This record gives sequence, C-alpha cells and structure tokens, in this order.
Amino acid sequence: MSPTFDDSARPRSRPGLGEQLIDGEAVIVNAHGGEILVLNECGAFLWQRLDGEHDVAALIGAVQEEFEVDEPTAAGDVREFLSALAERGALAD
Amino acid sequence: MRERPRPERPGDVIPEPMEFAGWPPLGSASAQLRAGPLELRLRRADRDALDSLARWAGGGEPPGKPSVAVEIELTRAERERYLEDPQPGEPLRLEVWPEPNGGFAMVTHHAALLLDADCERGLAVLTKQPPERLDLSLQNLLRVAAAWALARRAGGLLVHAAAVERDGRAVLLLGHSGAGKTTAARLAGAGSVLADDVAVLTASTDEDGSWLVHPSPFWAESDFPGRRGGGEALPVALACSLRHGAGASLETLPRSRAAVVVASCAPFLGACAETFDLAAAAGAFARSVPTGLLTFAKDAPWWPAVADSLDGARSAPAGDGDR
Repeated sequence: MSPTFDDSARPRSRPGLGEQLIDGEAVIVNAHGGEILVLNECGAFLWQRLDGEHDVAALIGAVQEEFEVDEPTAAGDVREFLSALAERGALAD
Repeated sequence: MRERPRPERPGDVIPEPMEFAGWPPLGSASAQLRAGPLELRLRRADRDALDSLARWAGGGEPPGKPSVAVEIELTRAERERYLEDPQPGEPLRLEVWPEPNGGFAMVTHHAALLLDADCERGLAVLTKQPPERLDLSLQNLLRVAAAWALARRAGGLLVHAAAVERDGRAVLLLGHSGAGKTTAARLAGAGSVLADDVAVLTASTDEDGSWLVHPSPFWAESDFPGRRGGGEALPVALACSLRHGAGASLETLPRSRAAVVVASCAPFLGACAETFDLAAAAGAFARSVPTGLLTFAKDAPWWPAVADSLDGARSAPAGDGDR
C-alpha cells in the first residue's frame, strides 16, 4: 500500500543514494531497489528539497511558485511524486 | 526450483576468515591480467585455472606501470554448499553485497570473491568443475574484481560493451547480453576491436574530461576478428546503446538518459553503489561522451549512421551540465 503524505510530513531522501544533476534532470542510483531513476526538472527540483526540513505544504508551495501551477495541481503532483519515490525505496523510512 | 540458503557472512562460503595483513609479500603472483591502469595478480592458481586464464586473457601488455594493482588468492574448493550447478533453466546466480567491514562480496554458482575495503587484496574460491565451466567462472570472478577495483581506486568503469576503433578513436557499443554487441562489432568493418563484451573505461587525465577505453582483457570470443590484444587506450568519441531494427540510424540521447544507460551497463556495482558512487562516474561519462541510441540490422553496416556524429564529436567540446 502506498504511503500517504499529509501537509505536515517532512519527507527525506534515503541516505546513500547516488545522485547526479544533469541538464536540470536528476539521475538517482538506488542500490537498495536496484533501480536507476531519472527525475525531470520538476522532480529534480523537489528531490533537492527532500531534506527532512521541508514539509509537504512547503514543497507544494515551492512547486506552485517555481512552475506557476495552481495549488490543486501542485498538491496532486507532489503527493504522487512522493508516493512513487516511496514505492521505489528512494525515501528514508 | 530448489531453495538455496543465502550466505549471511562470507565465512559461510570461505572456510577461513579473511586475513589480509598476514599474507605473504607481493612477488609470488602466479598469473596476472592487465588492462590500462589495472593489474589483477592471482596467486596459488592451479594449473587448470592458469590454462583457462591463458585461453582468453593475455595479448600485449598496456604501456606504463599499473596504478591499480589487486592481489587475489585463488583457491579451489571441494565444498559446494553455496556453489553448485544451476538447475536447467535457472539463470546464472550472481549476488553482490557490501560487507559490514567495508569490503565487498560476490557469489555465483561456481565462484565466490571477497575484496577488502580498499580493493587491494582479495580471496577467491572456485568449485571443482569441468574446464569449460572453469573458464567462465574465472572470467566472471575477475570481471567483478576488476569492476570494483577500477571504480574504487581509479574512478573507472567496467561496462557491458563492445568497443571498435576507427581512425584512432573508439565507438562504444553498450548493451546487456543479447543486445547485439558482438554482432555490431563484427559489422563495424575496418578498424581494430578493443572489446567484444566488457570494456574497461577510465577518465583521461587531460583537462578536457574525455574518457578512454582500454584493450579489454575479458573476451566472449577469444579469437574475435580484429581483436586488439594490448597497447594504448583510445578516446571514446561516441557511445551507443544498441537496438535491433531495420536499417541503421542514430538517435541522440539526452545526457541524463546517457548516464542511465552507462550506469545500467556497469554490472556488479549497483549493490555497492553507495561506496563506488556509480552515479558520479556515469554522470561524468555522460557529460563528456556523446551518447545515442543506435538502431542496427544484423546484416547491414551501421557505420555510416554514426559518421556524422563522430565528425561532430571531433569538433565539439565537452559540455558542463550541472554537477
């Protein structure tokens, strides 16, 4: 079952994952899941903020501001993105 | 399929605990294998193992003194608790994991390997097996050791790729088994072949960020036509991910996708990616080397499809591309 992320959750990327930012996209080498992920510009933007300091509400606000999308769209995208990362073992427990 | 217990500790596989400090001094190596900066020295290899090694390795030695030397004590084991023949239809087992002490472990059906955290010394066990299996097992084992040592100590990569030479530069043909590396290398036409299955890559010491491919010591076909047995490394002018299709065409890949292609073709590092920083090496390669998706047919030359890209690579400087 996919985890849910309420506004106060403070997601953090899993320590030790290899990451490279290339031409605005992020390449994540996840040894634990055996996967290599490519995050697009928006995903890379969020990935850099998965530090345990930013809560979900802040992430949604940052996406709204950076990419000029409305709040419902940003909220949906952010939560979907976080769920996908969690399913792939790319977030800290 | 049978259930096979997974060894939790290398001591389950290797009868005696590893003790690097107490080994005899270097100089007693009974076989060696070189590629670029890398030298694998095998000690205590028995005659079967040495004969097997000689069948596919060797050729001219690369110039210069190796900077990455690994000494491996090779033994043969009667005990086959974890090292046993695959069942019919069962894929070749290959498990890799980081050890709590910082070292690295690998187990296949027929071999086990441990390297210390610095990838300077190792211990390998091969089961008693027919000579034809021994050849494969020994090569697999040494490929893993080479991949770890290159990554750990030279920031290099061992990748599933063929490499063909033309006019002093190399084209890398990346792909897993069945992708068509051997076929594509045969279709390359004139020029020597530096690798038919596994290529040894290192970053150049020049400031241009270029990457070099070294004549490989690991071959799927030891008598591959045009095989270059040794000598100087060549700069990689173009890397291609392979796809079977009609005709020949090259589609340029974004550099982020190029990094994924390279990382996914670097076997044995993934499970220990935190240590080897596979992402950094793949990213550095992708920033420097133009990479494309090469569609090719099994019976037609593909070289004309990449010629324009090669000409472009000769004149275009490597990009920056973030970090």
